[in-house]
Amino acid sequence: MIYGQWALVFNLLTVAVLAFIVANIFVSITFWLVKSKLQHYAVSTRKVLLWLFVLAPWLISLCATLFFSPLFQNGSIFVWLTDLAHWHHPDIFYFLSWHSASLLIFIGFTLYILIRKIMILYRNHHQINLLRVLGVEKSKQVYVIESSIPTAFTGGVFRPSCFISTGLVEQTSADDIEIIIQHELAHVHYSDPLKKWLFSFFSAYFASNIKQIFISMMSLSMEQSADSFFIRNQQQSHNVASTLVKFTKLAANYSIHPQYKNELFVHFCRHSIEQRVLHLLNDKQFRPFPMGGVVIAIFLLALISTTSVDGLHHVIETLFTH
Amino acid sequence: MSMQLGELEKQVLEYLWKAKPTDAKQVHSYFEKNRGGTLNTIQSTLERLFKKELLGRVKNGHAYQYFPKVARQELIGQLIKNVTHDFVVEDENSVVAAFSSISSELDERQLDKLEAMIEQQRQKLQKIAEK
Repeated sequence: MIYGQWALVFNLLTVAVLAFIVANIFVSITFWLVKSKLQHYAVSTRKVLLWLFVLAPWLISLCATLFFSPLFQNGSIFVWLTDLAHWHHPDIFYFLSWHSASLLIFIGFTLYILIRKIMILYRNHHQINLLRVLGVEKSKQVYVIESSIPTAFTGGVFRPSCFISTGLVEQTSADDIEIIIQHELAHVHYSDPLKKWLFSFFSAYFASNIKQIFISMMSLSMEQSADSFFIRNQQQSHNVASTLVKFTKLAANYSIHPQYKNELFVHFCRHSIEQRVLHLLNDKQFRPFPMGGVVIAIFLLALISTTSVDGLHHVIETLFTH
Repeated sequence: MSMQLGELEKQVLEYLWKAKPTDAKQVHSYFEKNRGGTLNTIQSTLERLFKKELLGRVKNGHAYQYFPKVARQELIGQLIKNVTHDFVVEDENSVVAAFSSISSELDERQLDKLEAMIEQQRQKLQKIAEK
């Protein structure tokens, strides 16, 4: 058992963890309810909204921690607020209690995710470096790699580069290659590999099915955004769409991942390519950024999470002793 | 395969991809003419490539005979497979962005349909332009 400033710090961290868990549940429910509506927004708006969803538990947890801190709890003008939610004995912390257990589980889980993601990052970094060494630099940040597999991708988290294979160059027209390179350069411009890595870290805290939808949606949005990066008129849109279909047809003959030849995967692919082509051909007006909705949702989620932390604390303390 | 390659390492590897299994002295005599460097440098480069699992070696008398563990094309193919694995399965750990996912079982008819749709839109645009 400890007293004083350190006890306050540990208690606030426990508040942060509880608020994070509660916020995560409410954010997941909110996302599940609105996910089908996201397609009505422009790609850039959709990306911002997806980032807000994965970051919301952290923001709400920070708000709740601030609220439970002496900054708010001691001020006389916040008396009515402290009636709503408060933390008992903030200056005493028991190490052998559910407070410290929840704190340890959260830290352990975070370390596990962090180590896993860093290992992936490390492996990918070296594999991309090796590809750079073995490839030929065609132009700035674009490498041609000697392989019969027709492929094009952007890799390298901190120093992204585009890679196109000789198999693709040989079997595709110069115009199509140009479109593919421009698409890959758009990924470099947006630093998509780094953003994908960060997004996967923050979405790792969600339940498996929610996490998969988050990642699929973000991945599709990034591809759509790269598809339209260099497009200035409708003619160019049609050209990109046509290249996408042609490339998919070509790549279909060269499966390098036979283990994933299953229905689910095929459907996802088709779904994704279809959505990208339709997005390129479509010139419909998208809804503006739902600023009001976002502010109200965050405020309500913060309020619900903060009061839930207090409620949860009371329930556990009533049912069990420390 | 998880290490970064220096310039000399790359050159030695490229040389061994073209040559028969060879020892440090032979590698050194080739590079001495082309770019200079001591036998020690070549020996440590070969040792590093061996530790990085890019080279194999067998003892022949007092010296090791070095040879590439995998062919150039095979190594590149393996690297492509590894780095693109993420986006093929839409893995949560994906850090690569690709022009298109790769699959051998995409529905050909569905793609034809999309192609026809693009053509239709093109013609529509052309007609508007002609007017």
